[in-house]
Amino acid sequence: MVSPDLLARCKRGDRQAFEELVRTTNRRVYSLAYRLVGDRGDAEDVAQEAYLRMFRGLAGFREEAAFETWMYRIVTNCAMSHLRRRGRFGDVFREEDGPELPTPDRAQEIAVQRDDLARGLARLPAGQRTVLLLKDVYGLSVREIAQEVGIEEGAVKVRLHRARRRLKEMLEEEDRRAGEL
Amino acid sequence: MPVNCEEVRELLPEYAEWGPRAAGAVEVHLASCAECSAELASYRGMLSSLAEFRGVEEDAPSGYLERTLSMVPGRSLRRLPEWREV
Repeated sequence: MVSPDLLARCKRGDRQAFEELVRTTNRRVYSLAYRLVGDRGDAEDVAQEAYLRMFRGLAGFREEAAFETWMYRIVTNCAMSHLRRRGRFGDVFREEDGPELPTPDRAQEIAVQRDDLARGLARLPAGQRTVLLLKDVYGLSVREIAQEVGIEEGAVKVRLHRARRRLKEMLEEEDRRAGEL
Repeated sequence: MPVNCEEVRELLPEYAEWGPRAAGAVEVHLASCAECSAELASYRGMLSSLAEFRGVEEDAPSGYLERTLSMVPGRSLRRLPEWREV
């Protein structure tokens, strides 16, 4: 958690405060960057670019309570710019779903394990994974996602709907397989 | 207007988000359909797990923190135009 006092010191250009901000947030910034670009080296580049933007933008930042959202939006924006530069932004727009998993024939409680979740997220098409991550993991609004990713709000909603259905099916499939072992 | 299981299932990925909802046909259906209620519970369980996933941190490359700290601006940056005292 980044305190209002730390943000106030950063706004005054306090070098130690910036360092504390980096120490406090670096793993979270890197984790989101990695989940969006899918490559460890690229994720570091994205994280560092995001910090440069944060350092420059903090002085004008007013909504201390929403710092984390602001930080995640900057990381997302940097990640999308990075994918564009690498010619990989099409991945985010692509919608093919790959092989469909069978629809569960009965409702069941999902015993969601962290590894299953990580595997399921990794198997989602990039466009679906991006919006699901930003909405359901990082808590950005549909409007914020649309702005940072550069797609229409309607497209965000459609992908989110598909991503939730698909991920739930995959988790239930994992659960069923585990039950058969 | 009464709704059936198929129509309700189509709505559940969005409906599963927590928040106030006006009583309506979906609630009436859910109150009387155990399978659709279980589906809703599954979606909500998944959304809770996803929210917790934010706290799961990826392993960064060796030296990442040090390299990032080396980018921290020094005092000279305070004089740049975009840095305004508040």
